[in-house]
Formats: sequence, C-alpha cells, structure tokens
Amino acid sequence: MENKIDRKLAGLKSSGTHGLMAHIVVGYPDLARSERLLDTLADSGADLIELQVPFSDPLADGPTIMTANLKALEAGVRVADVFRFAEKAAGRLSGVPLLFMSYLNIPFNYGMEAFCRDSAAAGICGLIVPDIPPEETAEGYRGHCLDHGLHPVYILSPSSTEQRVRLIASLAGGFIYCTAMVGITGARDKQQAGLQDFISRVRAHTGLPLALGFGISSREHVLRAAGLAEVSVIGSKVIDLYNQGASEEDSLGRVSGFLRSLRGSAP
Amino acid sequence: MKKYTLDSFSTGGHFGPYGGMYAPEMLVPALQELEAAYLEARADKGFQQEFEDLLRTYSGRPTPLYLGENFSRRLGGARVYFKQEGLGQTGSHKINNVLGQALLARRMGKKRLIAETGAGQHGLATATAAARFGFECEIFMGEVDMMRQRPNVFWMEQLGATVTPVPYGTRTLKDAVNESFKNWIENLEDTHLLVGSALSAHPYPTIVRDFQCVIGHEVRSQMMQAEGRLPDVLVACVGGGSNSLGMFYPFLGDEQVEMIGVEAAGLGIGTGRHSARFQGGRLGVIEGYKSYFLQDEDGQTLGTHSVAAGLDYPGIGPEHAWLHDLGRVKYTGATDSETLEAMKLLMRTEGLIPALESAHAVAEAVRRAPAMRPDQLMVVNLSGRGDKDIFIVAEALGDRAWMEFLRSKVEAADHGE
Repeated sequence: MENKIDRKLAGLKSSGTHGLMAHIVVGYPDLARSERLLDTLADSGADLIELQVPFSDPLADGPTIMTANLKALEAGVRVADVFRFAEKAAGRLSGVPLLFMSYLNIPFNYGMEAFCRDSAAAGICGLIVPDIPPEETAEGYRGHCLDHGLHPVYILSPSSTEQRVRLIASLAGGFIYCTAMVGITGARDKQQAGLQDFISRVRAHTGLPLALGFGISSREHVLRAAGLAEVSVIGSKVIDLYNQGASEEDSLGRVSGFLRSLRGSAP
Repeated sequence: MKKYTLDSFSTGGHFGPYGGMYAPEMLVPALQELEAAYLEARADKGFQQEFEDLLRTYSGRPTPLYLGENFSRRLGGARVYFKQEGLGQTGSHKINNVLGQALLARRMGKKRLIAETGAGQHGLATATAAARFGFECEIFMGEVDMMRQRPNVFWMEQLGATVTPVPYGTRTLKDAVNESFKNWIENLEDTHLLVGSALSAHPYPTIVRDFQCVIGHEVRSQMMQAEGRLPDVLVACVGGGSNSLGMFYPFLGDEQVEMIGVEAAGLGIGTGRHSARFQGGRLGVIEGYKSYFLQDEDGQTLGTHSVAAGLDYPGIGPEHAWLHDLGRVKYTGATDSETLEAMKLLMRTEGLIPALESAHAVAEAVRRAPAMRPDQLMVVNLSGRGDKDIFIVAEALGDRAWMEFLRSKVEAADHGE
C-alpha cells in the first residue's frame, strides 16, 4: 500500500508548494488540549505532523520541548494514551500524514515490532527516533518499520561526515530530516552557515525529499528553507507561541496565525 | 576459562548486549572523533607518561592501601584493607579520570570543559583540572544536588568554574547528565564533555574505565607487597560504576578474586525509594547507552533516592550490566541507615571519614567480613573522603550543636550585611 507521506510529498511537488511539518507533544498540556492544538495545526496548513511521545529524558530537545514532555508525563500521559490519541487523530485528519517522534527507550520497552505494528494500525505513517544511529540495529527497528509500511525517517546534521550521509541516505524512508544546525531543538534567530553546502552534500546521495528543521521560527526562515528543502519543520516555536496565550483560545489563535503567516496567507 | 574482558573498540562499544552509541546524529561525529583521538593517545607513550606523572606529582598517587586492624578485629573475620582514594587531590577517585580526559581534551585542541556532577566530586575534579590546564569550565548540577552539596559548589566556583543549576526533571544527576549532553551538542567545536562515570555513549565507558584502572593496578601490587598474594574479596560502591570498575578490572581474569559492587538501597528496596538498578531495574536505552535502568512500564525513568548524591542515579554503566549477567561481579545494596552506621564504625575504629558513597562499600564489609576467616583478605575501596558530607551527616545524626552553629553563622552573616 502506498504510504500517505509519499502521496503528500508528491502532491506538494506537483503543485510547486513548499511543505510544512508541524509538531506537538502528545498530552501537552493535557490530552484534550493537545488534541485541539493538533486540529488547529491541521486546519492552519500543516502538511505533515509529528506526534512526539512524551519521554522523561529527551536528549536532543531544548527547554521548550523538554518541559512539554515533562508536563505531559506529570499530567499522567501513558504510552497507551498516545496510541489511542494517534488512532483518533488519524481518523479525523485523513489528509495529514502523522508520524511518531519518540526516543528509543519507549519502543524498546513496548517491544520494537509491537510498537511498529501498533503504530501502523493506529494510522501512523512514519517514525522518527533520534537516538538510533544507523550503526545500531535497535532490535530490528528499520526492518520492522518497513514490514509494517512505516517510513523510518532518519536525521542528518551539518556535522555528519560524507560517509555517514551516504550510509543514512541508503537507509532512509519517506524523506530525510536535515537539521539546519548542530544543536538541540529550539526557536532561534541565528541559522548555521554552510547550510547550502550541507544540503548539496545530502542531495548528492539521495533522491528523497528533504525536510529542514531545528530553529525554524519565522516566515523569513521558511522562505530561506524553501530554497533548500521540500519541507520546513516547525517545532518549538509552536509550543512557545502556545505558551504565550492568555487562554486556550488565545493560544490556538496565535499558533494558527503564525502557521498561516508562514505561507503568506495571513491577513 | 571464561572471558570477562573484551575490546569495546571492535564491538562498537557493546559489552555483550549492553552499551553502544545510542546518540543523536549530530553527536555521532564528535563521539567518533573522540574515539579516534583516544585510541591514538592510548598508544602514545608520551601521553601515558604525562598522565602517570600528573597522577604522581599533582594528585599524590599511589594512594595508600591501609590495613584496618581495629576495624577487622571489631568485626572478627577477614583482614580488611582500605584503598584510600579519598587522599588524592580533590578528595576522591574522580581526579584520575579527569586528569586523563583533560590531557585528551588538550590534545584535541579543545578550549572548554563541561561536566555533569551529582555529589559534586566529579565537578570539583573537573574544575580543578580546568584551572590547572587553563580550560574554560562549566559544570551542570541538579538543583537538588546543589542544595545538598553546597561546599563543593562553593569550591567549584572559587576554582573559576561556572556552576549551572539544572531545574528540570528530578533535578539530580540524571538531569545534569542530560543538560551537559545538550550543552555539548551546542558547542562541539571547542568543548570537551568530560563524562565522570563509566557510562554514557561509547567511547566514554571505556575511556573512563581505562583511566580509573590505576586503582586496581595499585591494589594488586600493594597487596602483593603486603601479603604476598592476591586479595580474596574486593568491595566498592556502584553509582555509575567508575571507582568499582577501576578497582575490579585488573582482577577480572583472576577467578579466585571475588568482587562485590554495592548499590544504594536508599530507604530499602521494598519502599521503592532507592537507586539499586540490579534489584529494581530493567533493560533500557537511555542517555546514550543500553543497560539496566530504574524505569516504569512505559520506559520513563523513575525518581531515585540515596543519602549519597553520587549514587542517586537510575542507570548503571554498561560494562557492569555485562559483568552482572556473566556472574563475575556480585551486586548487593546498602541502605541509608546501614551506610551511616558503617561510616560511624569506620570513623571510631580507624579515624577514617569516608564519603557517604564509599560508606556503602564499608557497610557491605560490615556484613561480609565476620563470616570470613582471619586469613582471608578483603579490600574496600574508599573512593572518596567524607568532608563534603558534613551537612548531610550532621543532619542525619541530628547533631544539635552543629545546627546551632549553622544558625549562628547565618545570623552573623545577616548582621554583616
């Protein structure tokens, strides 16, 4: 069966549209409100959405996303809740492919094959697990993804060597997540020099679409990313904006306005 | 004969099923660079010589192996020796690894050292080495640990380090480890992450172990000199596991030498308030390595407890996990109260003040020595001295005069303002 991510990315390509991938931490600030945030993102033009499974020790996340992880756990969110959440969301938002972003220890505890099977059954299209480097088999992660029709999305960073770019490009499914900088997640003003060169190095080894993430937090960043990659990833900025709202309605309005402004369709 | 050692550089950092390099992609090139630099340094006689010289002239090695005759007589069993790591520069074994890694960082052209710390001993050692070698230095420490180990925070700052409080999660060692990793990711160019225990992603567990092996090598030759034979039992506390591995590793091939690692049983295993990974933990992959972790059914790390900040951590070094499964090292636990009792006994019989971490090993000696014969030899690693624990111990023992002293100090300071 065709993966929805492929169909979405092919559609964006044929219409000449730069894609947006948004991100939420499932259960932040609680399950009901993160559901409404998810729907707002989908309504405001997100083409793909990452659902992060909250984890106690998110090694690659900056303060914004890490705090959201810890708050979701404090609110009592369990992995089983995340699967139920995903299944409902995939049913509602049939036009927006959903991915799970999770640190390895969650699927490792759940059972790697069971995690892949249940993700696919819930309607998830791909997995992003930042702490599985290609050298580690991680209980057959990649094979289980492929067996269940999930794209194993791998990450490359400007610090990745030529050899690693080649290796990871050969394993990746769906698209490759390129970090715009060597750093942790978080909204920033500065972007790394040499980005164009990094993207060219990746393109030399893959025909897959590229998503550019880490630190993308303004329309200007997205315009710049559009010249480099097929998709921009908006992560921490959404949570930052959400946190600034005086009420839930205000929070959702800020997020929606921001997302629309990225495509230039804002008032 | 079973094999208890392996070349982790040929297994991708795996010890059997444990260890590995489960790091985000942006860290992998830095870890590989560190691996290459270390292999080069390890083979360089000049590097090794400089390391040995520093240990001798700066840190005061070899540290003594001392026969505790009074302590042994009181327990009425084995002859108990104490390896006095607390007599080294900065008061614990941490300095061994720190000096080695500082030399390595200098060789790699790094300008800045960062480190995580729990009890503050590793942070103190790192701040000391940074001062000695002219590195910038930032130490990450959980807010809870800063509260309970204030003297070390004070000295780190006096040595010129920035101590950054970590307000996230359990606000202890685990969270400090996370923060130091993140800071490293943001500053790979000029910064060396100086991991303080035999854990984290490959190559750290092996590098730290190698630099700590000086403990075991010394014990071996000191024991041969004192008794003309190898010891029967080695005992050490196990947080992440560097002092224990440093002492055990050179003896792994000597099957007649029994080895005991002592975890922090906190308020008791049954209470759930402890840090004993082999008694309450399960397999997991967290903070870059696969090992036993205290975690819930979903894989979220659990809050840990120990009176000793340096043992208050949910994971254990991967080589320990492997040695545990092989049955080469036995792991037990000592509770907070057993530890305090053992500490008192050692102070009264020998005049030695062990760190609370090390006192866990002493507690195991108290349990085990009486059942041994007087011709049997035990070595307990006193990985650190206890000066830093004065506030915790005084509070735990309910020392009223000390509390009044603190109050008077605060009042005097208030009047001075």
